[in-house]
Formats: sequence, structure tokens, C-alpha cells
Amino acid sequence: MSLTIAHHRFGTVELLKLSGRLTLGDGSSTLRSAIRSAVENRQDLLVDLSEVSYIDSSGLGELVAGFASVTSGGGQMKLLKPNKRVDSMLQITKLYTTFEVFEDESAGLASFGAPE
Amino acid sequence: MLPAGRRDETIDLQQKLARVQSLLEAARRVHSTIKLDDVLSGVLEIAAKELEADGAFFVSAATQLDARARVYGEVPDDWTRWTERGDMPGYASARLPGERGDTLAHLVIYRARDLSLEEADFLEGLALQSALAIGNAQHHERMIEWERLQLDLDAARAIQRSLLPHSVPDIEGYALAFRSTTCYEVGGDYVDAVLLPDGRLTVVLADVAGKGLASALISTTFRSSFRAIAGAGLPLDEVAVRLNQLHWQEGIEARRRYVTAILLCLDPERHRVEIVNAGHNPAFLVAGDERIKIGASGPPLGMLPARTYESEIFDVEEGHQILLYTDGLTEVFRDDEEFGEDRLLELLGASPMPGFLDHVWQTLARFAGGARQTDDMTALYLCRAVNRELKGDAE
Repeated sequence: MSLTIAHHRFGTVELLKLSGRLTLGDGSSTLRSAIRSAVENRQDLLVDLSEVSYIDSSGLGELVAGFASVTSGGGQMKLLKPNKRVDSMLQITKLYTTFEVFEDESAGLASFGAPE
Repeated sequence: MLPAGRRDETIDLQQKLARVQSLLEAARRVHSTIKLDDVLSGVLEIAAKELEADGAFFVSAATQLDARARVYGEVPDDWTRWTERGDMPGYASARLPGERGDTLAHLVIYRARDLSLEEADFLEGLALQSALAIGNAQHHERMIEWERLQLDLDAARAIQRSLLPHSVPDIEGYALAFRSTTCYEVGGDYVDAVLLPDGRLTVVLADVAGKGLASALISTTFRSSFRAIAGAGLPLDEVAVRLNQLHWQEGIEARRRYVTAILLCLDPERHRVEIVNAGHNPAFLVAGDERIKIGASGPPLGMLPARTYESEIFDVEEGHQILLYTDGLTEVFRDDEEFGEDRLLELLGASPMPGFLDHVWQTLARFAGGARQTDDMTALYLCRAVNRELKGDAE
């Protein structure tokens, strides 16, 4: 099973709901193009990881590469509801301090400031 | 003498038979070689000669047929602009079906008379036969290419093995062992040890994101950076800062293939060890009754610019043990169950164990129940000998 991404737009924030496997190949390239188009549209990103069944080191690399490209374009990227596997990877790699992580969708959306 | 109608039928049958025979002969010729160029030129020659055309050519969207022997005889200058639906007078064509129901190419002849039904059948039959022969020739070419790649990988594997430390540094009062196995020919794990002029030993155990050849390439550039920086005797946290920055500067592909690493510097005179964990699985330190996990103080190397790291310093007493490992060890699976960090930590006894890494690998193999290794596995085991009985536990 590969990765599918559902897009929801809330003002300047795009909510990406990921489901499936975020791994080398299909998964990471799907995420890459989704993030690229968000950067082009100057959207901030909230990435919902609750339905990600598996993530490998390449998937994590893609998340961080996305984070770097969003922030270097002046935008913000935050994470929503990482499951146990993603959470422990963020902990082990000390990336928890890099990402802002939310457990609640509306709190995550509100954190970007009032929508236009 | 036969009546005129019967005579025509007989001639007709003779012509059909001749076509079938020539198609059989054509098939024999087309299949007599597995060289793609010979197949292509053979088919074109047969098509042109049998159907008395000026020339013949292939039109293909498949890039495999590009820049090959695709034209025979006299064809118009603009033959490449032929299209299937062009309704172009003077041309006749047949489709070569691909293996997945797609179109491999079209076989086209030029300055053809209006083809009889039999001639059109012949062209179709020839196209089908050439599709099969081209498929075989391409498989053959791929196999040769695959063998060449295999030789390349074997060479890469030999180089990577030779880049591992040739011998384990001999340090009075300590035993050091490491072990590394890849799941493909080459891998993205890296372990190294550099003896400093002042007698200290710097070791690194690293895991490049991903596996296989791409990660192996990155691991060799990481090795060069590490060897260049580690030899300068800088504090370990500074070594990590520089490795991070250098790797990040290598660009976007290197950043995706970031490196989780543990750096360790042993001072055997003062019996102190300094450890920096950059986004890697926790290192284990068994110090008497205490079991300490040394977690990351910063993100993996090369992932984000301008990160800082912190060293942790421990006194090493007799019998203390340190285990560094890559996640290939903890992520060995039995069905859906992961071997995990806790089981690995439990393998460490209260006192040093000769051949400890053999024990770990055997335990993991038993746990996996003979399943194929799915990630690179590397570990490094360091302990301070009790009465020095452990010296030389090198593998």
C-alpha cells in the first residue's frame, strides 16, 4: 500500500492528511510533490500523520526536507497526531524539538493565527 | 485442363502457400539471432523484399528502439513523421504488440503497392514474430546489463569492506569489537576507529538513511569527512557540528540521506569516555548495576543546518561495557513483533562477555527464525577488562 494524501484548505493553511506508508520511493515522492505545490502556493502546512501506518528513515528525511523548504520560503509546517512509530522516531532523532506537534486538529490550525 | 475458375483457385492457393512458407522462413531468420540490431535489420530487409517495397522502417515510441538499425532501403526524407492515423498513400504498416498489451512499434513499408489480403497478413505475421524476437533480444541485453551491474556491485562491495577498519586498535586494558553485515551487496552503515597521536581513540558508528548503493555512496563521503575531522583531535561536540554542516552543504540528495551517528572518544589513561549522539538510537552503557541509555542531543547529521550537539562524559571502571548499534538490530522482526531496544539491552550481562557480538547475531538470527535480513546491521562493543582477561576480543 502506498501513500495517499487528502488536501483540505483552511485560509492560508493547507491540511495534508497522509494515509499509508511513508517510505522510500512512492511514499516519499508523493509527499515531496504535495509539499512543493504548497510552497508554490505560499500555504502553511499542517501534516496529519495519524493514518501513517509505517515510516522509514527516508520518509522521515522527506518530512524534514519538506519542513526545510517550507520554512526557507517563509512559511510554517507543523505536525498533527503522529502515531507511536512516528512519535518514537521523532524522539530518537531528537527532531521533536524541531517540529511543533499537535494532538488536536483545531488547536493545530489555530496555532497558525487567524485565517484570512 | 482445369476450368478457368478452378485454375484461379489453384493459383490463389499456391500463392497462399508461398506466403505461409515465406513467413515461416522469415520467422526462422528473425528468431535465429538474439542481437537486437540483427533482429531489427533482418525484419526490415524481409519486409521490403517480400513485399517488393522500396524500403522499410520501424516507428516506435519506446526509447529502447531509438538510435538502432531502424531503416532499410529507400525511404522518404520525412519517414520519421509517419503516423499510424496519417492515411499516407504509398505506406503500409503493421503493429508490434508489446508484452503488456501496449504498442512496441509499427513496422512500416514504403512505396508499397496496394497489398493483397495475403500480403497484409504476411506483414501482420512478420510484425508479430518481430515483436517476440525483439522482446527476446531486449531480455538478453538486459541480462547482459544486469551481469555488468552485478560485477559493479561486487566491486563496490569489495571496496566498502576494505574501507572498514582493517584491524581493531589494541588498547591496553580494553577490548573493542565490531561487526557489520549488509542486507544488499553494499550498505549505508559505517563503523570506524581512529587512534589519535595522544593515545585516545575516536570511534564512530553511523547509519545513512536508506540502504543499498545510494546510501553506500553517501557513507563513503561521510567517512572522508569523519577521518579528516576526527584526526584533528577537536572536542567531540565540535566534530559533530562540523560533520553536520559539511554533510548538509553536500546538497539536497545528501540531506535526504542524512546520517544518524554516535561518536565516542575513549581516553584509556584517564579511563574516561566522551559520547555524542546525533539523532541515533541510544547507546547502552552498563556500569555495574546501572544501565544507562545515551540518547540524542541533536538531530541526525546533515539534515538541518547549524545544529549543536552535546557531549556526555562517563568514567569507565573495570567491567563497564558500552554497546553502539544501528536500528537494523532492534528492528529485526518475528512476524509483526520487533526485537526491540529492551531485548538488546537485556543481552548485556553484568560483566563483560567474550564474543558478545557473536552472541547478539546468533540471538537475532534465532529470533527472526531464518527470515531474510531486511536492513543493514552494525554494532560496536567496547569494555574495560577486569584483570585484563578480555584483551583481544576482536572480530
